[in-house]
Amino acid sequence: MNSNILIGDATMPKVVIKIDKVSKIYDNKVKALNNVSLEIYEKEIFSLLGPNGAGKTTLIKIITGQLKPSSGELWILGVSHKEFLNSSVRHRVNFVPQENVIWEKLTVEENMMLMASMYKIPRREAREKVKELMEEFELLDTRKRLASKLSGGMRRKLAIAMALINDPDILILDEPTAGLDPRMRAILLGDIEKLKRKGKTILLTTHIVEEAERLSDRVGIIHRGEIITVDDPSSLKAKACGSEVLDLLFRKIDDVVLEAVVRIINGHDYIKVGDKILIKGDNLLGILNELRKNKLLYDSMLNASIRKSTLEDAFLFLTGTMLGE
Amino acid sequence: MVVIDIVKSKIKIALRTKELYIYVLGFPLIFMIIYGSMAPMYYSTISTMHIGFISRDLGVSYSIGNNTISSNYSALFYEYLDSLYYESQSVKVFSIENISSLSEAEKKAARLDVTGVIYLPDNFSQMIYNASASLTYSIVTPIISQEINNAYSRGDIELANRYLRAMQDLSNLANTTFSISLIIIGDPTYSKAMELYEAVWKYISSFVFQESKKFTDRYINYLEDEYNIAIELNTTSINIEMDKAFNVQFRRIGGGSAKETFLQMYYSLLVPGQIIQSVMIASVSAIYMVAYEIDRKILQRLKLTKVTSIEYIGGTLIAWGIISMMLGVLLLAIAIALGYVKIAWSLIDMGLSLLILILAGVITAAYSLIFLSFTNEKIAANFSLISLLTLSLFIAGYFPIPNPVIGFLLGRELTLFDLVPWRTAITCLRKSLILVDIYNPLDILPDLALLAFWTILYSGIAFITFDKFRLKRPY
Repeated sequence: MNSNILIGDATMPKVVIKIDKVSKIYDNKVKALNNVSLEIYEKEIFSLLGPNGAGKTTLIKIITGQLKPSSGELWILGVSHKEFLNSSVRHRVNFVPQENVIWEKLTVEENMMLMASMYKIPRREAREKVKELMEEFELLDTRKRLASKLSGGMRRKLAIAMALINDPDILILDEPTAGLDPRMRAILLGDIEKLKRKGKTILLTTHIVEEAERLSDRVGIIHRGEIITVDDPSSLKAKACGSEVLDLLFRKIDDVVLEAVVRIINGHDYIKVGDKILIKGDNLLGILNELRKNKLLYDSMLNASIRKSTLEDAFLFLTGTMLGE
Repeated sequence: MVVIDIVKSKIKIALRTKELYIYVLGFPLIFMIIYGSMAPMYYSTISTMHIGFISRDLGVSYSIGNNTISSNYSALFYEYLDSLYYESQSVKVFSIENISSLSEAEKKAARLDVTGVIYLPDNFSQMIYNASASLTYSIVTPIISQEINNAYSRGDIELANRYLRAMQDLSNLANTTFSISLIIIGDPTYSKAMELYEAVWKYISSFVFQESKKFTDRYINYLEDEYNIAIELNTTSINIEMDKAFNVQFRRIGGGSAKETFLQMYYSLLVPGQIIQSVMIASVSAIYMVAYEIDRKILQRLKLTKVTSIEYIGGTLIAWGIISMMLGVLLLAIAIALGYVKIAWSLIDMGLSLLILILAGVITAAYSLIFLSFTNEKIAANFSLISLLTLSLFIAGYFPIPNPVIGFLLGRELTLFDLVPWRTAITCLRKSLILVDIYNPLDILPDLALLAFWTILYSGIAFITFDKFRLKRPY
């Protein structure tokens, strides 16, 4: 075991990926990552949540050795990023980029067998592993079908199954459900949950809140190349916006309306998004009643609701922007 | 073994790619059209043709009156050809080299030391005499008939009788059949050889008419002196069926002069060139497949696997070598089925041909990978395709481009075109497939050694560049 490997004490989870002050500036001077520090623990699902262009894919490329950071250090399973691609540790990591890494003109089974061969798995063992994975990912019925003839969802399943052929300790999924219909997305999320139960460490990137919320043990919010915060979804929501969010929709928000709202909410954090004002906190019903009593606000309010806070709200309060922006 | 699995997979992918079939079947067709339409262009070039001349002519003896005359028309034909100049130019049409044996003639033609060889059979002079006699009879008979009628109408019976006796003398020339045949030995895929073939049609007929005119004049002089008559030649048109009267055969080198059509002869030696050209074009598909793997991040992903660069690149090149062999065999089968080509079915020559096809495919795939190392897949694919198309049009020797000897390799002349590996592949394939009568497998070794050298060089460069620039690790 490399001396750099970071193992916590008995009560602390083992760190399998440690990122320390990593920055990446591309040749065109675009700063994709700024001083990112992060730890990924063994057997957890860690989601990097951020909008497109936040730096998620850049970070994954650096972790998987495709890109060199401009500064900073990182270790994968205790091995420095500088040694990673020349170390056998790389065989314990696999990743599924946004593009399905499959050979379209090969059948499902041929794709998996070829990938097994790339890992130099003995043929008999490879056949058993391929069969096992095809069963797990419900690909058995399509084993003789060309990958090009599969639906988008099935292709993604195949890509993930291929990434598991070497039984990696760490699986990195870049936007695993991008472009899938809701039914296939739900199936795939179920598959990822199964992987977690099998003890895999999964690092995934997503811009879909529900996905991060359902799957993740911990979520890292990334925005404009910086990790804003890292925590488990509940804590993150609680820290960022409390348990509830009061969602107010106005005809028009002018200075008078805003001033009235601020006066009534009395120190609660709020954020204005277009014609909406979101107020975070706990037990917000009292504030809502106060707001309704104000004739000016009552007249200009189109809708008001109190709902449980989401990661999207957390992202909004933490970054000041919406995930989709 | 991972290399075998990569090879098998790439072959499967290639065979399942429809576009490849367009390259395989479409391009040979396009080449045929291109060559067909461009042929007149090469033939119009004015330059002295260096030709071989081989005569087996036994000469001919004939009598005019009491005089016995011996003629060697092959020597006269040699002088005639040697004296020809292009119209309004000081450029000689032929420079002629006497060749003693048929085997030497075939070798010189195969190696393009000469454009082609004119082979005159043993009865060449007899044929020219027959033509001269036949034409003289055809020309003079109506003139004498007319003079007999004129003499009778004037009441000059004595003159009419002298013309009648001249007519009886002339009847010695009757019943001679008129057929001239000779053989051109050459490589039908070499444009200059075909130019010679066409030129000989023209010059042999001119020569025959020239010699016939001399014979006719001599015969008329004899008749005038012998019978004290006057014969005035006028312009008489003689209807000669050229196709029946002249028969210039083309004997393609290495194959004997089997009864083949001109097209069959032409394609017989063209096919190896077309096969290599198709291999060149089809192998560019390798670039699209690797480009697909780059686009789909497969190469990135492979960095995490246990496969090494040499296994991946080696697998890719071997796969394309095998695909090229399959293409070559398919095209050859089509050519044989169409009757375009007759090949030697010797086991060793077929084995050599398959090896040559594999090496040609490996070289082409390596060539494509080198481009792909430095630029993006679209530019690399287009540049490879265009450059290989252009090269393929030139390397087969269809154009009259100077191809100087630049050295020697294992006793074989090394020409400028030999520096283009596909040219070497075509040369090899012709020798192993078609020219087996001239070259034995040992003769092919220098070409094969050169081809192997190119394969190692191109593959090595492809490995170094692709590994450094495409499979590179960022550290």
